[in-house]
Amino acid sequence: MRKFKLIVPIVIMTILFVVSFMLQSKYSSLILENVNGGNVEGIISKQFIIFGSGFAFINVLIGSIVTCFVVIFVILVFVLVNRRKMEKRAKLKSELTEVYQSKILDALEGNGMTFDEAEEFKKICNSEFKKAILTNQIIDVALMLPKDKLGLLREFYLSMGLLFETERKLKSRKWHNKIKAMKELSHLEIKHFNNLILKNINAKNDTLRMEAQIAMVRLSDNKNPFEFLEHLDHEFSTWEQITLHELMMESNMEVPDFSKWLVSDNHDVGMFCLRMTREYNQVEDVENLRNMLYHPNEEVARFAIEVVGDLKLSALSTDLKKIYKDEPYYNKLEVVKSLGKMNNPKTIQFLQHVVDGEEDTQLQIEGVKAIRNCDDVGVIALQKMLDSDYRDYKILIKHVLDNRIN
Amino acid sequence: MWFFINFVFFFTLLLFIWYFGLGYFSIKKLRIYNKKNTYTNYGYIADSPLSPSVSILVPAYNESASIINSVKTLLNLHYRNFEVILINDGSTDKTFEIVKKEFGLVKTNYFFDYRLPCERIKGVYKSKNKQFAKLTVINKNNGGKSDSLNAGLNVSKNNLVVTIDADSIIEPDSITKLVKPFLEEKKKKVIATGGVVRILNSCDVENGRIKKINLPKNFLAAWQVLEYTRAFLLGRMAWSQLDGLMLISGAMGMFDKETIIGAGGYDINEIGEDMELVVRMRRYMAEKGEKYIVTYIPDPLCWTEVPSDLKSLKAQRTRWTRGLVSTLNKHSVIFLNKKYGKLGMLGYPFWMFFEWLAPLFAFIGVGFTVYLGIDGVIDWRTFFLLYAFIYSFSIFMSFWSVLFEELTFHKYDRKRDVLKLLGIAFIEPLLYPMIAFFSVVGNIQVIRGKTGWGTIKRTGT
Repeated sequence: MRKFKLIVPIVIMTILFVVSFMLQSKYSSLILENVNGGNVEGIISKQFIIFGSGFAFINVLIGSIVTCFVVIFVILVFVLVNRRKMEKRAKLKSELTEVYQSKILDALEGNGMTFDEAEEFKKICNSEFKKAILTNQIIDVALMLPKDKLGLLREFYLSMGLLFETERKLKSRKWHNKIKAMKELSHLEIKHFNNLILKNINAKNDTLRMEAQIAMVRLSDNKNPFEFLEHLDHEFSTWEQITLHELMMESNMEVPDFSKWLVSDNHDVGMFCLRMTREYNQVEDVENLRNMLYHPNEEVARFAIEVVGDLKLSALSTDLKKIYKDEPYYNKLEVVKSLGKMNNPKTIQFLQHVVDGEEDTQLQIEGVKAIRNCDDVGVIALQKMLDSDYRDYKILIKHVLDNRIN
Repeated sequence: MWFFINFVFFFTLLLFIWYFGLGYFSIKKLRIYNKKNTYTNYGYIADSPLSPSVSILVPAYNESASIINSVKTLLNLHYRNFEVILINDGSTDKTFEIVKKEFGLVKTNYFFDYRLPCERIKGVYKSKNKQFAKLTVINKNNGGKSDSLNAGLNVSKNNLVVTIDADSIIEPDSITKLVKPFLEEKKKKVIATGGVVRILNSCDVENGRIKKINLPKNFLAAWQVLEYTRAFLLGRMAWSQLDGLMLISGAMGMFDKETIIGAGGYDINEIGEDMELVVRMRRYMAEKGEKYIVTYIPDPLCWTEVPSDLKSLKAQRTRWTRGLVSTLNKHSVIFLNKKYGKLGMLGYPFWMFFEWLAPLFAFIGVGFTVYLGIDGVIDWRTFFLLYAFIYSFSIFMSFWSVLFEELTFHKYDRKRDVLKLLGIAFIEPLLYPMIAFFSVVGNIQVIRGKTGWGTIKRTGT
């Protein structure tokens, strides 16, 4: 059967071949009548005389060849010109970046801009290319500037009439323009358009969505930076979650209590809050964490099991033991690992059952590791297992006790 | 005569329309990717404690000349959570001894779980020096690349695994870039991600890092730069957009371990293990009825040396053909099977018609043309017109890919290199009969049941 399948494309090719021949024959016979009738003035009839019955293809071939060579020539010219253009542009950009940055810093010092300085900046804003560099520089300066001087920079930005431009970009249909606008607003802490930004937190475009989230956090005034989670219906990828976490660490913002969003209808929000609960060791709300262990989504439940272990919440070890039996393989593995992290001698009996009862080597290894983690009681239990006639655990225990491996 | 011309014309036209379409999809995806990249902070993911842990598997066979540099480069990658697993595949030189001495390795009491089949493991080693805590070395009997990767998978601790060739040079941010699709996608499970492989010949390398990128001085290697640029930027990019990607280069790729194990791991008898694994993983997911995706990123992630002499090139290309035929044959159930989605309806037929059969047809075509020429039946005007069509379109596609390269990654700084690359585009179509010949040889080897990789001469950079 397999070998037969390989013949199929050959059969298809043969059919294609025959069909093309039939079409050609039909078409050429009409022209042949024309030529035989003495009418050889038409271009097709002439081609027929030069190339025979394949004239239909000849036109297509000549047309394709000409098109290809024209495009080749255009690409060649473009590559040569574009390279020079790009080099020039990069050089100009680097020069202007330096000049504009020092001009902005000069304008912020002392008692504001002089009339001449203001006129010069307005001139810069007449060119789109230069205006984009100036705006980028304003953002760069905003990142370097101490908080108390940000107001001056904001005033400078507003006086250049750049806010109008930002609003236009924010309302643009192009996602990258919206992002540029959100970056400008969030770095300069301009809150006029928060409602427009909030609309983008459920955008289809993941980059736009993420930038909207970042902007909302930056513009939150530290009161409730993660308020947007309540409005988030869309997927919330791990990438977005990591970016927000890094942003939190970068800006030293006040950490909210994430447990209130653990029960969010959006599973991704739940996962994010589990991550943050672990990162910031928020163990006050054990009940919500317990509920997460019974989460209907397998992936969320598995992650909750991992987090409970990382937080060493021994109070939930009974729940872990309870759910073990009905969980899928990878969740079971996570339960055993988590029990091991808890360092709770009360779990040893359960773990011994896992090691004895399970056939899967990974579960056995994790079970033995978990027992070893229970300090002296664990070591005694392992010793008993070594002496046991029930199974030969020697290799497993040796593996687990080798600190270089684990 | 016209039978032949019609056939060649239609087949070539179909092929060109297809390539043109692929080029279109590539542009679309590349533009979006590059724009999004402008707003991506890869530093966040590289440094975050929340980033997933990754296991890097490096099979090594007789790599004593370069292994220390390779391992040191890997240990210095810019990523927070990773382990490097070096698998010495029964090297007959001193690869293992050199590594053991350099990194102060000692044998552990590792309990080896043969979840995936592989040759006997002689030992699992760790370093006494905490500086190299991320390194694990497996010493095993020789079994080939697939066998070594299975051994590495058995030892790896993490669910994301990267497979790389020991002689490849890795970009410092490659792991971060590969991991991104796994973190971004929520609707479907990402089972594998690949990236662009670039050519290392003639580049300046220092301490395992590329210092200066040069176009190879050797013509064959320089021609392969053009070939790789076209394949990676126009071909795979588009296949990724069409969800029909069937191949992730063996030089570097990231995989979901759970899916690999579910699919049965690498087939140790397979010569084209990289393609076969991706197809099998896709089959496994489709048969399970789970939504999945194989992604591809257009960033250059790793650099590898390509053959620069005809003998090595022939060995490589015939091996590729054998791998392709074997994979197509093994998974023929996918062909035009709706159950496998775009893989069955688009990806598989493409590889069958245009990658496997096209060189065979081309070779037959050349033979037939010679026969007609000797017989005096050939109409040379039509013949040259047809050839001019094929020739001009081939150059057009190559130019297009160089344009892409220029507009996106711009890796070749010197204008001379780019012009040389464009110049090669004019010569390249003349080399096609040679490639078609290698493909025919590969097919003959399949019929004769040849196995093994053949030898590829390394020149060093």
